Amino acid sequence: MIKIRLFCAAGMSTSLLVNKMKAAAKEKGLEADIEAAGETKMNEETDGIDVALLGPQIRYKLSAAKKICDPKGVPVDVIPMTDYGTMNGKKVLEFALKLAGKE
Amino acid sequence: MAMMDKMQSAMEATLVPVAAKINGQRHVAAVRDAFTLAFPMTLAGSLVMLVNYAVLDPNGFIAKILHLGSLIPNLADYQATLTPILQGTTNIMSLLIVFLTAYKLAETKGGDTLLSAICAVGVFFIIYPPYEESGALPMTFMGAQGLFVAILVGLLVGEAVPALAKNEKLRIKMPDSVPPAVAQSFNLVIPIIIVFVVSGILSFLFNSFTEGGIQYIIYNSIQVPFRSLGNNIFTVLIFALAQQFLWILGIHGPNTLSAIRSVMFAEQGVANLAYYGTTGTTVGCPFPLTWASINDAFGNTGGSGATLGLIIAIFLVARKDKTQMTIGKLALAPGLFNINEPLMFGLPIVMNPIYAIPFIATPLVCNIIGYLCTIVFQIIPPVTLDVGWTTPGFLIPFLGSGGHNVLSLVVGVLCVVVSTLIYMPFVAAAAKANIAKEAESVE
Repeated sequence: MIKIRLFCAAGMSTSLLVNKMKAAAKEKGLEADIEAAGETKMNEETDGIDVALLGPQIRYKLSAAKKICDPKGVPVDVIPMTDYGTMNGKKVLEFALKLAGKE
Repeated sequence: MAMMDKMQSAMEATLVPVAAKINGQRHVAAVRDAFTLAFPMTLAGSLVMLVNYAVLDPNGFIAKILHLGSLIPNLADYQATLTPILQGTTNIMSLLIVFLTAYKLAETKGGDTLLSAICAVGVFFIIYPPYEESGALPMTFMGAQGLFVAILVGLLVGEAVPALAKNEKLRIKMPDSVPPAVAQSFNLVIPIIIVFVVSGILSFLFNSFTEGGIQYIIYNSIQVPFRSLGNNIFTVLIFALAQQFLWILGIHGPNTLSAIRSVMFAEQGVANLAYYGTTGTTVGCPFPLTWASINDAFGNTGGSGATLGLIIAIFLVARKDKTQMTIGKLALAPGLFNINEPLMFGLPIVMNPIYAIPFIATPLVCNIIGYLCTIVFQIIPPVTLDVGWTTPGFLIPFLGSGGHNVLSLVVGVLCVVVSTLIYMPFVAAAAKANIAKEAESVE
């Protein structure tokens, strides 16, 4: 079981990607809990998760996100722009797994 | 392409950190988050009012279609059921903001969020204009007019309470036998007393030496001038320009600017909604020209850059270009609801010189169309009702002005047509380049 949270400005566009990632996880036979949220909820939403991802449009938030995630031991990074734009759920899932060290 | 890469890395090194600084600045972030969190309340108030006048007013557009006026006698009397909802949303906006600002600021300081927030609400009332002779507290500054004081109090208390709480000397020591939860509740008593007493003294001084106290002073000397700065088409266009430019750098433009924008335009939006709540029309509203009534209504169909026109342009002139078509199809459904990240990062628009010009020009042109139609020639009513930013853009001028003027719908669609025309030549150029590149790679 892997818990992934995606963050963007309002959690709208990342929620599109979440659906694609869920499908990719299912295909892989991987049990995954993936949800999207707005960046204002980062503090609450990063408890007990395995990895946090930021949409590229808020990549300037990375250092602030690290401040929240590092003490919780949650790895966090920005989703590559092209994978985000093409809503490539499979690639972003792999990116997340790699980041979480679960590959 | 090499030049573009260089430019991109130069931008990354210089402008992105600046944007990060602005966004990460604790006080700016606290104010922005407070308005973001309060937004569902104003949206809810706005939607209920819209329904109230569209359905329960015999002249409302749904009431007319269904002939509710003749079916239900005294239909308008039932409006009284929903009208008080404004009392719980826009009319107490300042209370929500003072609470949320202090909450969010205390959070960044690692302080007690809830106690800081309710303490800020307390301070807000300590410095509030005194009771009237009838024993009633004036509502005046709980809604839009009190927003500046609400922000200031939220920031000061959100800063002060956690800071004072860190001071060991200000803690009331309890014997070890007292349960920790009880002991903890005493820790913040002295900091709260300090904050309250200081507020009381400040308020007393202001009341003694000025007419009306802190609220009136700040409202007249800061909020009114700042607000009038916003009621200007150039301010709206500059905001749009800055936001589009940030997006081209790959930074969420609206989000970055939202703190200053919310502060500048919050009072207008709330006041306009209150006006609609009592009159049932947006015509003659106090602030017909705001960011929301121009840019959100006319320049944002499909998302930042009015990109629904870009998608249509792709379907019209780039059918042979696989790259643009794939992204265009992917972007259509979210694009109807003004979400356009697939276009931003998929085409991409970010750091792409071909799309930069129309991406900046289109919202500006659409905003000017909206300005001419609603403010200069006044052929359609001002669009002052918030219907939520995910409402299909071309419907916003219609719904956002009460949903009774068909011409508003026409102007909404006209903006999509204009944006399509602006994007078209650039999409065609991009298609040509993409097809040539594909042919090259096949060879």
